[in-house]
Amino acid sequence: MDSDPKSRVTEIISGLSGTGDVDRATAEELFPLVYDELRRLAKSYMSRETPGHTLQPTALVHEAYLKLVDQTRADWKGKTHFYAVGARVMRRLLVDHARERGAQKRGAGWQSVTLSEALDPLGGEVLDPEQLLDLNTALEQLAVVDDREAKVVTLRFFGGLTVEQVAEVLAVSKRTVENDWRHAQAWLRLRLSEAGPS
Amino acid sequence: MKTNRHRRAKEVFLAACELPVDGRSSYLDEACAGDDDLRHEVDALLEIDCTTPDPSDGRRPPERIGNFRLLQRLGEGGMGEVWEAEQERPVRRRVAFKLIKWGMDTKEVLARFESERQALALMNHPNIAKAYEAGSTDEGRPFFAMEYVRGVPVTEYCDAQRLSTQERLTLFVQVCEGVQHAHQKGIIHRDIKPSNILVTVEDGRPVPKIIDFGVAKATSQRLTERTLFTELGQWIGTPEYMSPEQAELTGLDVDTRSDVYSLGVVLYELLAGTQPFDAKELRTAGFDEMRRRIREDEPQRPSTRVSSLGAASQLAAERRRTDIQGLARTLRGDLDWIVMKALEKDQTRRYGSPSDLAADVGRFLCDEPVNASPPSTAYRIRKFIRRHRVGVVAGGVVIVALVSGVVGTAIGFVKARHEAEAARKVSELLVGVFADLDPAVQVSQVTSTTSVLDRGVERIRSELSDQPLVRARLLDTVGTAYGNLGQFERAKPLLDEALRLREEHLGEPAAAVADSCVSLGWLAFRTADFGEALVLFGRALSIYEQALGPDHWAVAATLGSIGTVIWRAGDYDEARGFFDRSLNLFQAIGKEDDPVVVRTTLPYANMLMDMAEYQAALPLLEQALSLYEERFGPNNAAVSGIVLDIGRCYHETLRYEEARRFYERALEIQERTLGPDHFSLMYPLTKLAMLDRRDKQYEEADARFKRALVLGERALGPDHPDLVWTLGPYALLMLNRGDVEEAHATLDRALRIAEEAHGPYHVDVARILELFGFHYYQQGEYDEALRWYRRGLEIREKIFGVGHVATGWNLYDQSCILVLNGDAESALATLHRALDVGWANARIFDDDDFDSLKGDPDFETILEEVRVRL
Repeated sequence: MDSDPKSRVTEIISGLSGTGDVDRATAEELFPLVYDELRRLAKSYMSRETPGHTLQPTALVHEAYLKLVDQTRADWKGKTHFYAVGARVMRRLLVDHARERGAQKRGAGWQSVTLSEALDPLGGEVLDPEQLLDLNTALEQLAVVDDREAKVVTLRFFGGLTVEQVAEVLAVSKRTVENDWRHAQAWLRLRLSEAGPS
Repeated sequence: MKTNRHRRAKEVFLAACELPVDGRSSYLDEACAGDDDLRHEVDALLEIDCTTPDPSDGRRPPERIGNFRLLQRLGEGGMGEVWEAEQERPVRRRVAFKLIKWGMDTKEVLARFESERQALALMNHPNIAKAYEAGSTDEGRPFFAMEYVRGVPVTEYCDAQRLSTQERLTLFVQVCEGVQHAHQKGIIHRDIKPSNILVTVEDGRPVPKIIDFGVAKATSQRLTERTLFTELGQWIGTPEYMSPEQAELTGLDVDTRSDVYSLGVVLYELLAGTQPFDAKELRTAGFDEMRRRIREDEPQRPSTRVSSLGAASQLAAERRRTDIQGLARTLRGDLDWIVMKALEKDQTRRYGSPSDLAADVGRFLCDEPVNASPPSTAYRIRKFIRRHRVGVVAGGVVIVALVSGVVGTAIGFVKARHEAEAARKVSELLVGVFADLDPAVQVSQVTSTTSVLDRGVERIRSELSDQPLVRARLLDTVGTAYGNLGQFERAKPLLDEALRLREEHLGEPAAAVADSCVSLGWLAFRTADFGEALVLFGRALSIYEQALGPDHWAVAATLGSIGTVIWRAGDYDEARGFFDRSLNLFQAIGKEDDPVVVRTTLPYANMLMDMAEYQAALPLLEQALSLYEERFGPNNAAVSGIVLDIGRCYHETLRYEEARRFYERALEIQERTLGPDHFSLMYPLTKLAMLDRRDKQYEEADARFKRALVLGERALGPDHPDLVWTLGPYALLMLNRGDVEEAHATLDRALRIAEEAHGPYHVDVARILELFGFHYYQQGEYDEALRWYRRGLEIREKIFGVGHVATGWNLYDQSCILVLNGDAESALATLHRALDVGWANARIFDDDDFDSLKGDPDFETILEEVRVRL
């Protein structure tokens, strides 16, 4: 009926109810809509800021949320699922961008990124594009052996979701999320330190 | 394969984490027996796990911190986590151990902590969970050890124990005392909410204990943007309990009175069973909207809230060992005012301290007079104007009649008559001129009267230049007469001049000045300039109180006028308050059977009809009619307005035959006394046209609607809100005749006018939306129809409250549509909702929309219920 992204996203979001899991189809539908908006936001953000400034993915996801969802019609559940999609999008965007930069070796774009919770598997506060790619690779490896854990990490690092929210999105208990999280961190740190300085 | 290994390593790792460090190697020996790779992996993971300083909230804190041994985690909050711990030295006891999250400005946090720690150690009060020790871990992470309170949140406790209102108040006083103690030590809590007030039982008595003191202040002081974003998943503070100044987020102005506000919210919840701002609504709005609401929106008084929530209040009442009426009655009055005073947006108007609040509650419990009182009328009017943002209508005067049109005229006539008599007594010079204006002689033609009035004005000005007060009185009279004839441009300058003269020669506290204010107030009202009208009436009220004393009918009448304006502006709660005050005063001074009381009862009755409370409205109307008939005779223009309103009452309760009789009588009187071109006729004409349409007399209906619109537009201009009352039903007629496009256009116009004049939350807007819905229903587009009806329902629920009977018809119509749309289940559910709000009407028996439901046992139950109620 209408093709305005905000209406469509709001509709999807506010239609979520009942059990936790967002079905694949819904998530797939949201992804491109959110991707567009986040890419636009990231771009405008980067053109605004001085070079060397740190990008905060979760702040962008939040802004995208405000832009794409009619606040009066979304609730905690809908918001949480939006953030979940936002996290995935953010990760994809950052990785794509890091690869581009890698190919060019210099140029505009973000210099460093601060992941949520000031968590940093590589031992510093901020990640440069190369470090981000390392992280991404490690995450992909993790996903092969433990898909859920990789999801937990993605949601928390790139979306800033709380333990509670992650539990909602993945439809598991908080305890499970905490365990996954704890293990994943150790695992990632281990893998990344083994990989050596990049 | 790899997955299994991974999973195994994870299992072992996590299990090992749960064990004390020294116990791990033996466990690992066992678990990894024979599998060196596994052991290697887990060892490496554990090493990294322990060595990395991890500020995240998933990280388990060390076993022992100082003299405390951590046992089990109790919970996680926005600020950190709480553990049950065992203190070993200097004394062995159980404590609540709170570990603070890594803040953004750690050094600042620690510094602030230190100064708080001293004060916390000094706090010693039975209602505050004692803080034992505070410090920081080796990693520099701050912690608190506190008295371990085994209890439940105060609201839960009171509900579970079904404590009465009195019992709850007694507990609440203790809470206030605790907070007061802390304030005296220089600590502001900032996060007072039920989950921070736990009730435990000591010696068989319930004792509330406040926890989390000082913590909030120490760590959430500076809210940088970055903090907001990362914490957005978890809201900072708890919005439902946050004071307006806290919602500003600057951190300025937050003082002990912010705690008083939060205590007010807790009190509200203890008494009424809900929070002043609906938690769900607050949280689903956007961030900025949420803050705006806390800062600007006025909550309903607890008694009103209880009354308007309907079924939801039933549970609350039960938990207080009473019923809804009983609860509302207990809350109404003093308790309302105590709570509202604690919830004032303006800090200076709140209780200055928790002990002031506790003292007033104490007075209430002892049946002593409390300090809190309903705010003065002037203050309320100012607040009302601010809240509804009613502004001054720019530019020209749009001519309007009050309510169903003739009432104002009737009142004006009454006044004009009295004034004319007085005028005649006062000045014999002008007897010749004014004789023609005597309403005892029916005015039959507008034009001739106007010219007579014009001449009169000239003579007033020239012949009475040396008698300013007489002149003023006559100008007032003539101005009002102009107003009654719809000549508002001519009226205003005269009334302004009269006011000026009186102000000059009598000074402010003179009743005559107030009279002028009232005349001007009505003029402003008629031009839909509600703000101006309120200001004028407010001024008149205070002057009358001063000049004539507070027990005078003029005071009571002005209260009624204020109520009328507020009602038309759409605030039913406030309006009712004024109407009740007015009527109470009339009764107190023994004037409840004087026709002047009609000035209040007539708009009051109309308001009640808006609220679908027809049974309450009718007696008021009938009393008004008999009073006026007695005073003015049965065929006076003043009477016609009341007759019209009675007709409306019958009409809206579906007694069409009686309605028609009354409407016809009203029309007849008006045509005779006011002439065929007076704008007041638009109201009876519209009503009759509505009945004609119903009788399928489309030609008559069309003619009447057209005539009504012509008269209305000519006098009121094309955008006056009263036109909506004609346009809506006219559109319905167009639908019946198949003029779909025109109907749509007319409804659009009506909606636009209503929204512009009243804003989106007004009953007239809801009515139009429902007409749209009806339109689609007739077209068979049921989904669309429902959409419109739902919007209308939203507005009604917002204005009248969920569960109010005024939402009944909307729900009924929705169920008709749902049935036709094939959704019998929802239709029945909606009918039940309609019944729940108190709706009942015989229409359901012959409504053929429900044919498919006949025989369904649920439907039969509903029919039976309706039968019982009628």
